[in-house]
Amino acid sequence: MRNQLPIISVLAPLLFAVILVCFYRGHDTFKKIITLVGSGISLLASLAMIPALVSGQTLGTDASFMSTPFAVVFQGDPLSIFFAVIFSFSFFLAIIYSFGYLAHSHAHLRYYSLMLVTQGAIVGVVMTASLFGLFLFFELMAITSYFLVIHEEDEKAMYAGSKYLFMTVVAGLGVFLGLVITYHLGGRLDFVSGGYISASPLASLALFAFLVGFGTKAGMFPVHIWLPEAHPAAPAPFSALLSGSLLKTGAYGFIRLMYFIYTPQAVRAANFDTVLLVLAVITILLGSALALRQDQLKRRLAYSSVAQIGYVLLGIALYSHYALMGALIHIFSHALMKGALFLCAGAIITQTGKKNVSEMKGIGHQMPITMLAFTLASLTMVGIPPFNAYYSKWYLAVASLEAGQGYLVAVLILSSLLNALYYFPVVVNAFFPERGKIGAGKISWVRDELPQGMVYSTAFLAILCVAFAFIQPHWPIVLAAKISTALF
Amino acid sequence: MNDTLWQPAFVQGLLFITILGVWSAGERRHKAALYVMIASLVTSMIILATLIQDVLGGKVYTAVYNILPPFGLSFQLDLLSLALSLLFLFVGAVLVLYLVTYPLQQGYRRFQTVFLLIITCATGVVMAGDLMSLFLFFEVMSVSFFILVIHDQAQASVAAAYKYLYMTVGGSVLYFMAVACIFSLTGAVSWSEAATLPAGPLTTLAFLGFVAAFGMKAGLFPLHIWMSDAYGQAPVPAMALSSLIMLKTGAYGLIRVVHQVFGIELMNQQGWGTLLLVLSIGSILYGSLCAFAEKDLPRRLAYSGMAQVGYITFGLAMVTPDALVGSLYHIVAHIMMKGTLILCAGAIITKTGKRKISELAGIGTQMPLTMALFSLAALTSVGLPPMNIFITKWYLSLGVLDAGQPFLIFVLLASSVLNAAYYLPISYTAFFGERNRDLHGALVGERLPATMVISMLILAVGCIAFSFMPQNIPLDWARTIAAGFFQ
Repeated sequence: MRNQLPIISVLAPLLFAVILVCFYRGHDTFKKIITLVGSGISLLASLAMIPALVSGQTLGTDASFMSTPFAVVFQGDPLSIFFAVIFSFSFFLAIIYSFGYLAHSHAHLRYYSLMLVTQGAIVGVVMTASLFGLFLFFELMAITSYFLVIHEEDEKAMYAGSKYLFMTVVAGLGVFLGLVITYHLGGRLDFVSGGYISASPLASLALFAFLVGFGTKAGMFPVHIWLPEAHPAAPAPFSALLSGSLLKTGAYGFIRLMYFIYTPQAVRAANFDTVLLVLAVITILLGSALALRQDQLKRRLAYSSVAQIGYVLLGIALYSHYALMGALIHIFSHALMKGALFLCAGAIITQTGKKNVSEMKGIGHQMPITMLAFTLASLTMVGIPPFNAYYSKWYLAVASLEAGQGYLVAVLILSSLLNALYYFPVVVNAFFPERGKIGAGKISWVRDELPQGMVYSTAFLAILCVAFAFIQPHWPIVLAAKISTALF
Repeated sequence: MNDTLWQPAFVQGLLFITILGVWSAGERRHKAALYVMIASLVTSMIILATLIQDVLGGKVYTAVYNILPPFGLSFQLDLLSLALSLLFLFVGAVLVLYLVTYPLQQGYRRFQTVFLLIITCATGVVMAGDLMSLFLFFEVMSVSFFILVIHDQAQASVAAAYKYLYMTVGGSVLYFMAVACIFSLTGAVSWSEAATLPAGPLTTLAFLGFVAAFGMKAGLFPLHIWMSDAYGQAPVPAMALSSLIMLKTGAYGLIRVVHQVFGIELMNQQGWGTLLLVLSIGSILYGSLCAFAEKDLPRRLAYSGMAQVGYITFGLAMVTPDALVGSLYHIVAHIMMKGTLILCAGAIITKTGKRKISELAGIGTQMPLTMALFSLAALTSVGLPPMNIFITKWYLSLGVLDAGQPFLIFVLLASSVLNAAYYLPISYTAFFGERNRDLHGALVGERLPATMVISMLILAVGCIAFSFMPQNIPLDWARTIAAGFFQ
């Protein structure tokens, strides 16, 4: 039974999407139940695999599917499980949030069935035992997420969607090129700890093809340009997922590539790690700097995601125990905090219709829970202890010093400072607006006028940003350390 | 291990009798005639399918009839011939099914008779046992397509038909010359397992003749110039017939000639692969760019077909086993993908009369199923897994790497990007956008005739289904065939 968990976590959402499409006749409750059950089964299956992650096992059967010409085999090793838990948890909460957020929107059937398919696809990306399975689900995810990005179908969304679609197609072709060269060189595409493809000019070409492919998905400079368009255009719950989960598949691809397919010698011979490191630094600084200039809240969050994914890539590129730990913890903490922030942005839009930071003065009094959640997540962003991101930054800093590249610590500090500069004003303005700016009279506190599902899922994410610090042991760190230790 | 068998001749005979029957059934009973055509095509398929087991085991069937001096009419069935003839019969049946409700306005009897004649002759081309028999079928097929192009008898269609006719005749003359060269060198016109042709001017001339003749049919750059005009003018089923079946006979001819007349050694020694490669790259890039620029849906499909056939010759030109697998698989992949696109385009034209791409915005709300299938085929053409063309591109790329020229993969990638650029906007503007959003509520079934829907569905399922089966049969066969050529 335990060995069936990987396949269940992937296929359950897909199956329930089919059920939803076939039997949906406009019943609201039916839709909610089917969507929640489909997503929930996947979440439970992922959670049930955590013991295997702790003990370092690989779950899965040898049953293979498809003949494309490679079979797809579903297996979950610790790294897969780590990602699958984060992804399916984010999707589950986003779906709960969507019930409120999209109540007055159109095309419910399309939205919910595609959410389920996307969840199945993204869990599939991490739950298959070869680079080919990764690619297959990667493309499925790319196509279904396109429909979610353009959900609003206004001009902005269509423009952002086209940009996203074409960049995704190019990214897919990049991965294709890398994949075919990898197969040509190695005659196999499965994951082996330590890698099996040694240095050669063709290997370098493949690595840089993957750099385009996975980099685009991850939102790395200079192929991040789809991201600031797509995030604000998508519905808020999906923006949260784009940023918290979908970007991470790119990072996952890099980890698989550099630690499981190509040997460290091959990566270093191609100078791939150096290039990735440089790009990561540029991504961090550029993302933060651009976020500072955005007035539209979701756009600011989008650029901030660019910066944050830079941290993850930095950790991957440094090629050491602590660096990988930092990257993994940051993937985890970013999924929570950026998820919370996007959900807050969506809540603000739903309740007040305000999209720009400059209009949000005093908003904390209208929606206190939402803005408290925003505050928690912002504090996490800046990396204040004991919030999650503090740990990731700590390990990244340690790894940088260990690698003898102290300037990276400066980059991290500068970026944290910039984080503070573009998040704290939002918080401060929300709770402590200048007197006279929002009209005279007493400020009255009211409750958030939002569906409960929206409020609670946002608050839950925000609490998780800090809650782990009070549970001993600190599970994310323990798990990340386990994965990282197994690789070094 | 050669055995004489009755099946090929029987199939040809059955189909010719059906052709006569369709003609004598007359204009009024053309619907009934179509069902007879389908029955006859399916029967032929079943008869040929009985041979699969033996042919897969490596048997080669031949049959020679003393009816066409000086060489006689000969058939040969190896796996390549059998696979393609089954494929052509199958696709032919699907197209005839589509034809049942396609409004041609006039000349039903003429159109249908020629339609079946072309399918029959295409089957003959792939079953032909020597260059002369192939020539016979090839000629009848090519010349009779003229009648389908000119069907509407408008000024533009007459002009397109003339252009096609002259180019066809030019191709035939060159083919004739090439066969003559081969005969004078070897004294035989049959397929040979071991190439014995000496290098020399006559051989070169023969090769160029074949490339011109088959390349013309396959729309190989720069001999494609008849295609867009003919496709723009011919009724959609005729266009489908040409794109799905006739183009493939050209590709088949090239594959046969390269491997069983000239041989790999001669190809490599003379550098003809490079010539073919340059022409293929020209086809792929020029065809894609023209398709991108084209505003008319059938013409865009025509140019895209040119680019796609370029893949087949591209794989052939690499002269590596994997690349040939890609070429062979692409014959199936392209039939399914382009077939879906063309039949959907036909449905749109029939239902709404719209041909211009700019007029197609929002059409997804009127014809959701058609546009959904169109989108599936469009994604297939970009080469996303697990759809067919991904497999094609995979094997072509492996072949390119085996040949040690990794940068040629970028030609395939560029073509994929262009495919996305000229198909995907049609799909998403058909469904989404602010002005379509209000129409979602009015989404209705599209009331297309059932036969059209079924034929579209069959091909669309074919785009994706092979990957989900435990054994990818076309791929396995393609591997076997390629392994046979590269022993």
